[in-house]
Amino acid sequence: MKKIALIGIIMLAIGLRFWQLGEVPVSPDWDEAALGYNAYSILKTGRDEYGTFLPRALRSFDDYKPPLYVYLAVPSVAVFGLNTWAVRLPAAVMGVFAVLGTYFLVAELFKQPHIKTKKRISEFSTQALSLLTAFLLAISPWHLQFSRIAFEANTGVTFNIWGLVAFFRGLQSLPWMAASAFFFGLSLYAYHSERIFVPLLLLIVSVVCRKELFADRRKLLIGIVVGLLTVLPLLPVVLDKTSVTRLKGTSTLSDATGLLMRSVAKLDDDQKVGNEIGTIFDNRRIVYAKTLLDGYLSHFSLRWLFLVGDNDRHHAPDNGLLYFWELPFMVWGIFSVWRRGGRAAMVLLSWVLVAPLAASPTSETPHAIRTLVILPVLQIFIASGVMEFLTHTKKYYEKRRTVFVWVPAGVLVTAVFLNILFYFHMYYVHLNHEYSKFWQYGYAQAVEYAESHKAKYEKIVVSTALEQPHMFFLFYTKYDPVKYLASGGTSSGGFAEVKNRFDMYEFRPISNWAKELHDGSILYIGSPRELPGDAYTITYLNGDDAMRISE
Amino acid sequence: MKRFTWYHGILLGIIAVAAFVRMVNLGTNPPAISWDEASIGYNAYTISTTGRDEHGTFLPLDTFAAFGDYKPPVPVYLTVPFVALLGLNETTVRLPSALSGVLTVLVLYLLVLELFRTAKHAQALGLVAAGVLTITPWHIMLSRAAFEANIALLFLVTGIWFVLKARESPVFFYVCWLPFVLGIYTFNSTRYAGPLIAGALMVIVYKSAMAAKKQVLAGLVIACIVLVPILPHLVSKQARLRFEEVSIFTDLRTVLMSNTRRHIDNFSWFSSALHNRRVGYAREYFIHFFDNLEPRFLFIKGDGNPKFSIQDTGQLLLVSAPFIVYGWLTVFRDYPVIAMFLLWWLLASIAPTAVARETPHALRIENGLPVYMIVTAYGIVMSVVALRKSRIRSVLFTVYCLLFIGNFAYFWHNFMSHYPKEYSGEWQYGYKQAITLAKAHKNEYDTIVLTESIGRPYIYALFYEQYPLKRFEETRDASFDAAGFYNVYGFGAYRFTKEGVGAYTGKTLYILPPKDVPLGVHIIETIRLLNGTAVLVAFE
Repeated sequence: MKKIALIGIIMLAIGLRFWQLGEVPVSPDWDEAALGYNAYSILKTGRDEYGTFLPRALRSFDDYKPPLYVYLAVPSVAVFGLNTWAVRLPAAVMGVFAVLGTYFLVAELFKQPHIKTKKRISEFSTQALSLLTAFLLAISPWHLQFSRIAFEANTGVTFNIWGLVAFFRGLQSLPWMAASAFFFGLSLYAYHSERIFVPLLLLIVSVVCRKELFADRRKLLIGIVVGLLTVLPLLPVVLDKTSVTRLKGTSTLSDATGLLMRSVAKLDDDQKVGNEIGTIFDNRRIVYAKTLLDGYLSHFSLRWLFLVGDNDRHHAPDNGLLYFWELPFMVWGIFSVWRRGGRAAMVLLSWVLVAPLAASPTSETPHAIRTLVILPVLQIFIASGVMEFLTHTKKYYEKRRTVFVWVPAGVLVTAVFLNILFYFHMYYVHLNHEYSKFWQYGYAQAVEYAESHKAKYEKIVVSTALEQPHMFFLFYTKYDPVKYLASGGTSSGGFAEVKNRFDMYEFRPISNWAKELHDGSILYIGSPRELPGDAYTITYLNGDDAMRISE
Repeated sequence: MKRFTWYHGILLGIIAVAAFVRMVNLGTNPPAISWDEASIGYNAYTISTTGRDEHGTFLPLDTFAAFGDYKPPVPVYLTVPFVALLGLNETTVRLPSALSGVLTVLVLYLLVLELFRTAKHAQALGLVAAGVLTITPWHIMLSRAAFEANIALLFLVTGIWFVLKARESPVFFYVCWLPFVLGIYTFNSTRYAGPLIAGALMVIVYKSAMAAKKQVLAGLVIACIVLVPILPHLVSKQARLRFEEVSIFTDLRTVLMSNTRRHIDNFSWFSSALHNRRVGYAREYFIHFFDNLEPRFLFIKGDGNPKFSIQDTGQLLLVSAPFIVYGWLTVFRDYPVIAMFLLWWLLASIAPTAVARETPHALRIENGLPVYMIVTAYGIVMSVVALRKSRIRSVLFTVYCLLFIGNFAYFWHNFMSHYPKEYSGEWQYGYKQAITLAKAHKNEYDTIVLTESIGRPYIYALFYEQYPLKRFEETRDASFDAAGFYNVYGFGAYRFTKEGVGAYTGKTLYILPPKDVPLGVHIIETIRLLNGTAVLVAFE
């Protein structure tokens, strides 16, 4: 029974993750295109678009992407070719493994019996809880969103889950401990947030399980050795100054002038009247601390989690990151896990508290990707809440089978079902139509047009106002990486972006349409704002203009 | 009467602090009175001198028409004695709210004592709750201006305390519903939150109420009788107009979106169900609902309107955040029924306000403020008593006190030293100075033209001139517009305009915003905000 249920859940997870994988979201965004083309480039040449041999950090758009995903995409691109589906495949596979891992993780976490059995705590079956949690993760809008696109974060989550499963098993067995260290090591290669989150998570579980961990020093030793060996190649990257650059680029604290404007004015006033206590309160460090806390606390917004989400690329229209029906169960679940105490409570509650840390100093808070590491804890809470609810209402639905039981139960089940249906409908049907803009739709059509008409022209100019167009053109033309690197590869940094060119494509701003050469030898592709007048127009799926093509 | 003990001493200390932070510099910080305060003040003034409001209605019991916003009556009547005895000025207008704020601290203590009467640490809980309320920015800000909500909160807390008290002394059942009724006469959102909370209380005191049927019934009859005068207004057209003006349900975008989506789904039957506009509106409603629970609103920046928050602290103290979390967990563990009631209280205070577009709204959801205080107190007390050793207990408690006092000091410094200067513009600053100037030069001019740029100048002119109602009624040029708002274009020598210089009879004194001042005129005085920005210019 248990096995059938688990297989069913895995089938469901596969179905939801693989169905229309290349079509929903409708097109790859720039990061997906970049990961795809770099995987292709590494496959063909061993080098990325800049010519770096087997990079340990993918320079890409100067955001220095963590390397794991691109290497996972290499075999997929090798087998299925360079297309959206192939680039997204590793994320979908990892998503399915996360669902499976969650089943084992819950089993490990709740294996331990109650420390003290207190009254009013209902016993619930660990097995049902594991299955329910895995099911909730399988249908989770948050997890599904990032299992179906080539973003790095999802891979990290899977390794966190398996790392923990292996850790708990590793308390009794050496090989599992080595596996745990390896998985956690890998997750550092997966995503930036992991580099802050994983050490904290390890600290939490080491403290919680300190007795078992330190009972056998060999386990500790093998864990540390394997872990260090795994992350050794990454160390130069992490310690490199580029990681500081990225931190600065994404941090709220880097805009000091805007941030401190009010406090500087106040400080002036304090000094004028000689208010010394005031000069302490209006100190910039307090402003910094408050800004960080604001970023941290913003992730405990129910509005964000359950209703609106953040960036439109991070959720389906009119949906948050969790189902609305899950809210009361999550609250109840947090309470019940806390009440139950023991290892599960300590690990899960501290996990929730440290998960937003990596995202707190960044400028876009709350942020669904940087806090993706919180999965699957919220699903565990929700599942616990549902179990508590079922236990508490048992005496009604088991004994008194009256209309007063069946009607509310029916209403509740229908509401939950409709909520889930609404999400799936919005995701699979309406997301493309409403959000094609955020998925940078239009490049496939533009490239197709350019390639079929290119014989007529000497040169094709693509506007950089379209945001990293060279990457999309490389991706869709499947331009030979050998030729690309031979012609110099990508130039980037500062204003070098405008120098990008390959084949007969040139990428630069089209700042003044009137001044361009209109003799029919050059084809221009640009944004609707740049190319006025008569032009071939590519529209987003909701009908708005996306790109214009003209001579 | 119980003997005076140490905790009475602490309570007195707390109330003294509460009174100090709510009343020091009351007339000058916030730096000016808002138009609503001026309106309450002037109506209280005309009531005390003539028994009529500014529109000439004799002792209105249901509502004061005021600007056409139909203000609830109780706050005006509470202001009457202060204005009658101490004169019409900023301080007297604000005193009812400030005093309500001080009394709320006391009544909250009594309420907590009653709520947790079986608990071992009831005294500590009551004192900590009162202490935290005393220094919470949310309550201080709303106590320091004539906000109806703050007076309504006192009634609400008193009502809850009375009902809980009635469990022991059934005689309270006669009067315990009256504060809720007074709340209905005091503030709009209390009209919904009050009855919702009272209903939940009925469930809690069900047993005691069954044992005292006579008192309960009599009390309800009394409450209903007192409610009669305002009932026609509650169902009137004016009340509905005000509601529709702020309602999210009049937003057409939701309907348009639903139509677009149904079109894409080829108008299939399931699409009509999923993309029903009611689903869209329900989602909107919950978004507005949860706006009020945003961490930034509660702990970091507060309400976006600087009238309700100084923008440097949240509505609550930042240090209370962990205690609120711990408090909810522990109160649900120890007293599930009380915890359910507190949760209901909080949700019932937000629920009616979430139909409005402006969210979060610190004023409209103030009814739920005591819940945060009680939960914070519970978290603090439980985290202290969880420790066994009394020495560590007192060290920890001292640390907590320092944290709260430090956080409060941060608020207090910003409020006292920087708030007036930074946000005087938000408080319609400038009209007082303009009217004072006009008064001084009154005899030299035939007409005084005052701009409407800051908002509703007529009420400031009436307020600071202490203009007799009779002369106002005789000379005013005023009308209600189509949206139901009351516009005054002039009275006496005053003319109010949105335009610049125009054709006015006789020698004219203009007080207009800087952008409307023509070149080469004789400038008499420039009125500046406290941050130095010129806001009004007086010229001939």
